[in-house]
Amino acid sequence: MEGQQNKRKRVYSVEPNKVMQAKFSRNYINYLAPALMKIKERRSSIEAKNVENVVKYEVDMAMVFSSQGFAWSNALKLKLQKDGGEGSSRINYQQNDMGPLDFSKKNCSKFEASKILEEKKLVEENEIVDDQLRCLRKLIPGGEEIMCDEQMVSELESYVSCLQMQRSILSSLSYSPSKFVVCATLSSYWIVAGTLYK
Amino acid sequence: MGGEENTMEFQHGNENIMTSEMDISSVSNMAKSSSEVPNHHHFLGSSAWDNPLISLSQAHTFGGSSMVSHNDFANANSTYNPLVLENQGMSSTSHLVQYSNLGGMIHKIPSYGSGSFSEMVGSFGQHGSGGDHVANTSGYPIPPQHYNHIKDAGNQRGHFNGEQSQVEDSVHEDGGTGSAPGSGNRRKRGIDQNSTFSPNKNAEGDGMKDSPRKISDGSKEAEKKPKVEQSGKQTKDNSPSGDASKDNFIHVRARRGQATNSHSLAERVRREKISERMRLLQELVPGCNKITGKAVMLDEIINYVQSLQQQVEFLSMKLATVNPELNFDVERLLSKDILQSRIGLGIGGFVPGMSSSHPFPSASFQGNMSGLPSSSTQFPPLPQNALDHDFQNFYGMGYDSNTALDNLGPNGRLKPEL
Repeated sequence: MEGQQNKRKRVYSVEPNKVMQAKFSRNYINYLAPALMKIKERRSSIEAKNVENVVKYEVDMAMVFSSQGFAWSNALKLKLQKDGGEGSSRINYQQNDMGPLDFSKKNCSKFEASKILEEKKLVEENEIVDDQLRCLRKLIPGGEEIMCDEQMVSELESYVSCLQMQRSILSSLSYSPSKFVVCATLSSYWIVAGTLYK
Repeated sequence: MGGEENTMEFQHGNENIMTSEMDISSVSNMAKSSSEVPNHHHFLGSSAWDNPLISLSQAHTFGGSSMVSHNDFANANSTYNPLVLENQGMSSTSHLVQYSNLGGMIHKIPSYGSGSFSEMVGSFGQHGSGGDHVANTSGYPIPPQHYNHIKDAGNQRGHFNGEQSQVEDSVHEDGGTGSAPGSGNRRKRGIDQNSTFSPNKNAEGDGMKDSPRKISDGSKEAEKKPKVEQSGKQTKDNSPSGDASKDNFIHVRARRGQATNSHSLAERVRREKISERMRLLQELVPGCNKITGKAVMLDEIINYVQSLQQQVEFLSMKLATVNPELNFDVERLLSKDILQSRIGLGIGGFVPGMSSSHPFPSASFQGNMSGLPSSSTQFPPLPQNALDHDFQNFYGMGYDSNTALDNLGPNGRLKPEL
């Protein structure tokens, strides 16, 4: 059995999250860094307003390339390709107008009231949850096309973590670009990745 | 090894499970041997499992290496371990070691941001190529009271067993997205495999739910908490309704005092699934650990996602202003004399096709930038030795050298075009 085991050795990580994060960040930076350099070189030929859009486009594209395989990633790519370099690829922000979650009371006999109240609570809560899920759908790129809520929630997981990583990368790029200049070797990628993420 | 030996190992293994906690390596032995076991000897289809609930409690003892073994399945860190019901989608969401199919291989635990996993060595998940999942799963564990027709699902499992006998050496991919299977992106892929579920899922789901919005008036969901299952005990159940006679559907038992309308049942199943998923989200979103309650948590999540998006947008604008001062050593970043890495390049099938020494051919930049980098952006070859060494810090075991990325091996090494 041992011999067979060796042949079928699986590779698994004791720190899967770190690996994922590192891969994401490496891919992301690998896409974004050259793009940014190019933007920098061509800066004179682009109008000021457009630079931001261009950068935004690149940022989003980097996101797409770093996170292949998700529905939202493909949706984002399609959206970017459709819109091209102009137009914001940002998702519109909506106010999340869920009021405070309090439930109204009713005047009934106590026993029935409690039952009816619970029922109403649950119904209301379910409706609130449905509204929230709809909100989330609009937030995620391509959320409208996802058929079922459960799948959408699972897409949400990946989206949130990729957003977190993207934000970390961008913030370190913007606020301490020297770090990236120095860290050009691969091992430095890990250092950067390690400092970026918990 | 003959099939009989494997069978006997299995039987023996059954007893082991029943009595004590097995550690993962021995289970993995069984797992490996099980892949050759013919279907009718398989763990799951075996009639040795008289009571599926027992099997579930045993599954929990598996996960006990770093978890407290519970009788209360609801208290499980996130989800149930459907030892009997294979849920391949589970492998991406469960926090516990999964034994959805011991015929599967030890698998990297896919999870997002869930720190509790860093010490877990591996998990079992089911593995087949994308699409060959058990049809009755909706990518989701089914609470114990939904157990009624496990044997009926055995036919589907038989189908599954045939698939799992493929043993893949590379880091195994679950997702059926069609991308490079050798990618180490399993965690993410695991999530995505739900998309392959949807054809199956919808087929069943349509039978069960009509309008997901309707909640029948008669529903008195007095207790919403999940049921605590003791082995051998069935859920309190007033009515047998909800047990569809068809095999491919999820069988739901009505809880006590709850409506047995098919609408509300389907509705309830759906909501439970969503709650399960949201537990994972809870760990991702900071500060959500203490919140109990779906609506409040969803609120938090929505706000968090919005704020993240806003931050990204703000940062990208900042980046645009900072851009002139950026000075990447792009040449070094994309150094061409570095050996290709064995890992990570295959993400999404991004084979470094372009080999120019400049990241983007200058021809693509004429005038305006609307023709911005085409999708054939290459990913740089990365220093293999350093990568290996660094990766080995992350990986518990050494590399298996048969990753699918090896086809990018020395033959594929890029030569700079000048």
